[in-house]
Amino acid sequence: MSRLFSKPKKLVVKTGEDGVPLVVARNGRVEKVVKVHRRWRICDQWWKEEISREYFRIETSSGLICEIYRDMTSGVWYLSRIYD
Amino acid sequence: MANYVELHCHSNFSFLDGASHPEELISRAKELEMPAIAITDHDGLYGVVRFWRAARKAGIKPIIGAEIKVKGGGHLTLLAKNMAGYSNLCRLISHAHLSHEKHKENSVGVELSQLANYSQGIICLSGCSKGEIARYVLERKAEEALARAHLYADIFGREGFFIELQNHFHPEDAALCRELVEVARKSGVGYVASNNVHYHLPQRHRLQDVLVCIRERTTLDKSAKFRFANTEYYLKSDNEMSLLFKDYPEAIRVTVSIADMCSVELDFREHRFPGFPLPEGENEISYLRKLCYLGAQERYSPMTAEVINQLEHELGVIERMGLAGYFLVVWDIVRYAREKGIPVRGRGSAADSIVAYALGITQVDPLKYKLLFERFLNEEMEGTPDIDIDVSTNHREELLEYVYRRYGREHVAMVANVVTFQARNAIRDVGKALDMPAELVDRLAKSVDVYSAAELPRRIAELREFKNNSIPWQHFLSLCQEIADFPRHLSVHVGGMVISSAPLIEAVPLEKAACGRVITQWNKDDIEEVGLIKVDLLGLRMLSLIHDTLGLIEKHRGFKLDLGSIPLDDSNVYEMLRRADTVGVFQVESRAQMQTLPRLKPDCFDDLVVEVAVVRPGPIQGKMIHPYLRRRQGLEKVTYLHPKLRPILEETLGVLLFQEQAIKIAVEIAGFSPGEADRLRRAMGKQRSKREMEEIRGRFISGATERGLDEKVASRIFDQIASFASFGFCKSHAASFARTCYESAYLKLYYPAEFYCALLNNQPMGFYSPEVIVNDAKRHGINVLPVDVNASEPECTVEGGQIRLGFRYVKEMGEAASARVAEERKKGPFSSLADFYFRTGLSKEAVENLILVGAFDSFGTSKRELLWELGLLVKEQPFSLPLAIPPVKVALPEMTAWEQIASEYRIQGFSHRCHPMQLLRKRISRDGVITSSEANSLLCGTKVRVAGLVVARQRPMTAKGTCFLTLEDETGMINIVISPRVYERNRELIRLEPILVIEGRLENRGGVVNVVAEAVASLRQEVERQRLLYSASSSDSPGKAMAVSG
Repeated sequence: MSRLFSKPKKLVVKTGEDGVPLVVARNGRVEKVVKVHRRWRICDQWWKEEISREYFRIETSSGLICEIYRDMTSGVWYLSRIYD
Repeated sequence: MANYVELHCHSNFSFLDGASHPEELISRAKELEMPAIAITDHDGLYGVVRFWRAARKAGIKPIIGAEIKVKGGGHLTLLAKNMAGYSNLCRLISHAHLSHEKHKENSVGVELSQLANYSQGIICLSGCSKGEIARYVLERKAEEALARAHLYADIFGREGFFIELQNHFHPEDAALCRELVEVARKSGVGYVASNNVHYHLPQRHRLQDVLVCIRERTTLDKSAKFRFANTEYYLKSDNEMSLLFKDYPEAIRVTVSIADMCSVELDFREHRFPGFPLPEGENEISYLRKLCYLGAQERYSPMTAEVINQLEHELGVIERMGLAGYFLVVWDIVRYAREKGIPVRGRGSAADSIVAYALGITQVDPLKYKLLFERFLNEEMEGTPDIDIDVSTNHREELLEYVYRRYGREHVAMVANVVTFQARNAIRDVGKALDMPAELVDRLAKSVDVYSAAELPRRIAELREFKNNSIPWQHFLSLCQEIADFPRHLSVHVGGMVISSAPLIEAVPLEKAACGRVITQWNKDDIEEVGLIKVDLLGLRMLSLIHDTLGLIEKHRGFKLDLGSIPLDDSNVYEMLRRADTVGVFQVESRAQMQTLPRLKPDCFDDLVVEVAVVRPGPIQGKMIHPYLRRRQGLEKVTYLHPKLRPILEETLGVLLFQEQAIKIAVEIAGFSPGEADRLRRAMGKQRSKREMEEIRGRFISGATERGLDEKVASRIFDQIASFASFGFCKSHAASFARTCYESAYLKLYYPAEFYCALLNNQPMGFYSPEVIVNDAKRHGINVLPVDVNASEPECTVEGGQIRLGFRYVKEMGEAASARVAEERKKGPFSSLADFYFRTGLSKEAVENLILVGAFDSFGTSKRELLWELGLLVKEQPFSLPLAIPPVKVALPEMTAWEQIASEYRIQGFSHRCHPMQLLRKRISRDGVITSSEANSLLCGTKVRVAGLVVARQRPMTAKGTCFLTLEDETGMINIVISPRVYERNRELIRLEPILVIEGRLENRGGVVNVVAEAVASLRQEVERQRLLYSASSSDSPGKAMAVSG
């Protein structure tokens, strides 16, 4: 079961050397990433509104499993889905 | 040097899938410092020769491979280790293609059994996610995956099979890699990384997406399931790949060790000529010599010392170059054709050779016309000579079949032609993928030249839709430009046929073209580059025309005309040519030719050779042609830059026209050997860097000055050669063509009925439509009789010195229908429409069309009544009793002359009765519109208004936007020149209207008349204008009757 955000929420992320997230933070709440389950990139819709994103399905130190992505054009990180 | 080699790479020869040219991939690989790179296109080696050449030039090792589909399985990546492996790869690919049945569901695929038989020398990688092993893993079928791995390891050996790892940042990719490594470990084989490259740079992913849409016939929005989800399929650097596979460094290292195992050379010169069956005691050169002397004795009586010297000289060169077999093969083909009465003629530079003349391959005496053997063949030339054979179009199939039978199907194949994206089809396909409005795309496509997209930006800017932001104009434009010259698919080359000694299938993969012909996967340039030999068998309709004309002459006049023995100096023929009365005459009927003939005034065969050479489609450089014409017309003195040039350029009044002359000049003036001189000629024909040109120039000048020439003069002579180089013509080629030109002119002059009849039966051909031919025939006093159910054959025939049109010119009357009529008529002539209808059982449409073109006119009933009757007949059942009550005779008004002509144009493409302008003349002649023959006789500078059917329209690339039209009316034709400005103002009219009215000034230069257009109107506009001007009260509106087919 998961909750997908229709309007993804901005995050602040610290990454490692190959772009993998190490720490994620939002609204003062900070979580350490303990595992990256999956990583993928989507680049599509370039003929209209380009979507260029790198997704990570991560597990944090508090046991939270969620999907975050980095907008590859702007560099901004977002939270897009939480698994419960 | 990078420590990663890309082993799985698609060029744009993975049709509608790869998005980069082979050269672009190599260039990028060089930037990335890759020591080697593989090419692995889908089921083929299409781009291999280009890839090869570019790689060698860049100092990168090319690895030859392909991505194949296994029948019933998935993708596999195959790489050739050595020549044995390469041959096996060719065999596997050919087998997959040749055994593929066109309409079956599954696509081309390699049988597993074949793979096992031909695995030697091949390294196999397990493929992308569409490979079997990857698929089994994704489906959680570990056992099957392992079994497959064992299977392929058995086939290719444990050192010859590798599990392929790819990671394109798809959700399952990392996990898949882990599983695949496990499969590798468990089955005892290695694993290697690749990137399944589809483009050289990331930004090309857009074009790749569009190509996929074109392939799947859909739009970008609807094609998500076919396209890659991201842009990771580009050629990556070793750093990027190392990072991607940091958990499996072995996978990266192995790419280099695999590359080290592979080494293939694309040199097939050994594969050339099939063993020619020689008589006892002869070898190739001795047999060739024998045949040459036999032939020369017939051609030259007596055999002079000059003939013998030239023969021996040529045979010596041929022997040293190892080409005796090639000549024998060509001789044999020509011999067979002669025996079967198939018209053949050698063309091109082969006519420079006395050996070719003696063998009967060519028809022009090289000694008499001072041709130059070295232009055709010299020991310093790279590549192979080209002997092209023109064969009558109608007999070409037969000749090809002979070659296949003689040498075996494994040794013969047709050369492929790569069909590429050009302006028009690019616009259509890209526009469709971007889901742009169909009508807009159509309009845009029609507004540009078929081949050049140079005007596209301007055309787009002109559109009213340009301001529409919902249309992705930027993307559209850049994609159209990127896709230009991309391969789209293969078709058969017009003439090229490869014949080889070793089975061809080991040198190049073969496949079937759409028409069923077996073709090589390479085009003619590639074939030449690797040293294979080809013979071009080109269908020439003119040869069919001549053949048919001779047949008609024999049939109707009772004798066999031997064209080989007609005099080449008949003054009547030249007089006709001087008048530009050349519709239907080979090579000199085009608008451009008709403009030059009266100025060049050919008087003898040599003049004709010049005429054919001088006026070509393509760059007609004002510099060289006009001086010749001016000197010919006595407007300029004949001078030579140096006395040594006189013997070489005398025949062309001191003007450099022929390639053979350029070679002779380099030899005489600068002391080049003939081979060097020919190379010089070729070098200057291509784009050369400034440095190269300087170097060549230096050699020429120093050679010339050594021979006592002044440096300045030498320099000017060199300049002449250089500027001429790109368009100078090959004299032997011109001479061969001039011969055929003369023959066709001779036939037109002395046997016009037979000539025009054959011309009509061999359409489409030539420069003009049947419409123009019919009118030209009539102007020459040959009457053209309408199609008649009791007199016509399927083809046109000669009837008492007149031409009877054949059923082939009636729409809906196909071969079967025409044959049925002929068959039925043998039982007795048709007595009525009903009799015809029931006996032949033709369709209503066909009979209707026959009525409309007058095929039943001889029965005396009007066409309207016949149509009415047909309507009734169609309702009747065939074998029922005829209507007991005769149908009520309906009195219907006959069609007007205009309506009849209009139907004839619609159904036949022309009218035999009169020219439409004849009927229209009254409507437009009030305001000074005159006939073409009147205009043609007026003085230069007169302002005129003419009108006619547009029978020719050209806007040559070299004319800078000028458009040339030819209008035809009931008295003849007239030429119109339209400046770019006037053209732009009236573009739609000029492009689309069938009948135009032109106002402009007459230009008369040396007997050639042109009207320089100032105003252009459509017929409709003109009729309306005159009607208003003169307030006529004619009742029937012109608009209604103006339904002339364009």
